[in-house]
Amino acid sequence: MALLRLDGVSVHFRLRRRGGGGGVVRAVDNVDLTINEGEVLGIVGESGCGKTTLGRVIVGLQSPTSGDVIVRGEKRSLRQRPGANARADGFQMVYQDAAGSLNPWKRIGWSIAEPLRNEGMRKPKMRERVLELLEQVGLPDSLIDQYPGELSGGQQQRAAIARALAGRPRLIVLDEAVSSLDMSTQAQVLNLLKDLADRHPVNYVFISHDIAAVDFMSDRVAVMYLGRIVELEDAHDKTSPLIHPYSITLRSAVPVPDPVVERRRNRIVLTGPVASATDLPSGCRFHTRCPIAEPLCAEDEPELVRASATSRVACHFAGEFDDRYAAAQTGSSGTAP
Amino acid sequence: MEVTEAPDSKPDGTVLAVRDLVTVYPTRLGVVPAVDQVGFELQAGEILGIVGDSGSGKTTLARSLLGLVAVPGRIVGGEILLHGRNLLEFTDEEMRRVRGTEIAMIFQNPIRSFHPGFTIGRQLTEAVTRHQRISRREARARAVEALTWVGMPEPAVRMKDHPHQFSGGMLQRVMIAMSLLNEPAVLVADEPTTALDVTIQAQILELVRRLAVDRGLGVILVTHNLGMVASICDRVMVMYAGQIVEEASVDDVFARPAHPYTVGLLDSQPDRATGARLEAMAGGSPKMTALPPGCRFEPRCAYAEPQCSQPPDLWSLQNGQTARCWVSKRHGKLPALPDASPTSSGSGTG
Repeated sequence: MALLRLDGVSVHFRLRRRGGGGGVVRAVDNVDLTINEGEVLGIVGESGCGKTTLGRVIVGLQSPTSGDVIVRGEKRSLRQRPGANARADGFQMVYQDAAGSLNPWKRIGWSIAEPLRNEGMRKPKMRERVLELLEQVGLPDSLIDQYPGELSGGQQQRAAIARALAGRPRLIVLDEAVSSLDMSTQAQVLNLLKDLADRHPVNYVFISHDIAAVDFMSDRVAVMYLGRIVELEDAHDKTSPLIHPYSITLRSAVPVPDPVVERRRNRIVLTGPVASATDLPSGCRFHTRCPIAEPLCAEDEPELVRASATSRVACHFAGEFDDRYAAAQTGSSGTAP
Repeated sequence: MEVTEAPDSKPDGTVLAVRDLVTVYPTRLGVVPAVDQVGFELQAGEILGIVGDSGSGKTTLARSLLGLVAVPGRIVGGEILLHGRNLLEFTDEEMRRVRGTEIAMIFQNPIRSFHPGFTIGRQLTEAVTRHQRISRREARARAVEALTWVGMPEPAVRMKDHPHQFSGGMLQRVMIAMSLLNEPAVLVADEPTTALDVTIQAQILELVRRLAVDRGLGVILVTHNLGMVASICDRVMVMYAGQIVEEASVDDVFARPAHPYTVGLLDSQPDRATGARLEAMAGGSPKMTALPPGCRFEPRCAYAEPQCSQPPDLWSLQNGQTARCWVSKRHGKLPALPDASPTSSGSGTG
């Protein structure tokens, strides 16, 4: 059975502006998504694509405005006290800003023990469990009595992960959890997360803008653009690349740490204006920036349908990118900066 | 080992030379050398990358070049020669002139670099009239022109907009335009795209690269992103705990890194990972108030040997590659590790 299923989930925020007006931000718009037991789902996209909001829906901190959240076959009610079900379901979240998610006035041990206190665990047992958690995340025992300000960024994030693990969760949503760390520290924390997943029956939803980190962590990848999933894999395989035009440009935009590859490669640079989630483009949401857009794309929004053995894609021309892009380049030489 | 020559040779001439620069911050636990005896040269049209972890001194170095070190930090030694003149002997007023006209800096967060209450047109125009005796009308024309250089659509119209009316990527373009207004010889860019989305990042990088090639602008790019370095830099300096630990052409750094820290950085990249785990370096950077007496990387280093308790110098190897490492000095390069690396433990104390 799926651990969690989202069925047509939307989160729309109503904007109120001075002097009337306003509008609706469609942060997440009609998303279907299944998270299976024992897998790491990566969600990748740029700022404003709705990946954090989707993560909050998954963990139960945000109620969808419409659609169903089904946890282990059981439907969660639409209106609920935020967070209440998250704890009952064993869901946890780890944020980008580790310093901001630890109470600066309390010792690390106190923060890590917070889920244990909520369970009503007794003090002596609690300390034992906190020491065990510190060891699991590779932190020395001595940190238990230190304050967050005395820790490095990597140590703070390890402490936040220890707290997330405290209640033996089934699912941890990692929202840009390594993005603010130094490169070498990032690698340590990514390794730690992998090791923990191997040792404990815990699922991750790994949310990041960094496609390389998502590649490394994930068993399946979902690519989001303006509130929708535009590509969703059944299984992640580095050798069979993502095929939605946005996925392709996203990967192309990220410079690879290899000068030889970089010199040879023909980077796809997007030119069109970035669309806004309050004023969505007609048809395919990506058509204003898409290098291979056709008139059809402005009229008809494509559904997420199977496009290859391992991937579902929302694009009218899925799988035809290379040919169409080459044709578009020869058709109009010279690109805007 | 052959030197890879860039196919398009760039305009010659050293625009900036830094020698033995030392910038310190006084702290309760003593004086900290955030930038410790740093020296390098920058040619016209060259893009020099400075990489390192946070706290390695790369931003302090960048700010030192413009005389913008945050108080109570101060430069206590060395020379910064811009076209042969030592900036450290300049008065504050002279430095203000230099900053506007000869060496410019762009920062990570463009929204914080503009006054929120004035139109960008006014701010750009003032940046010209402050340094040059020309009419407001001419200054305005210059500002509009600079906006076209950076690919701003409808520049004359956007002059009337306030900073908050721009997206992050567009505002970073405005900031680059502003830095170029008085045609500086050197542009110092401190993490210029970190706050931007990756698709926008690619556009800004392409812009910086074109400015270096077309205008002979010398660029110092401070970043922690090795992909960005590989994509646009000509040369790279790696900093660790205030010191340069390696300097080389971009090809040499990636193909044959000569300092164990550089090796560690490259191995921590998920892009380059082949196995199920990353080769993470154990531990973290040393506290600047309690530096190891010898090599500062020694406590984390898989290559460490007894000699490393003595401080190494930045020695030349070949092809102009330099490294601050006893082991690579002895071998002429960094040899392969004898056995499976003991550094790959995931349970460091980072």
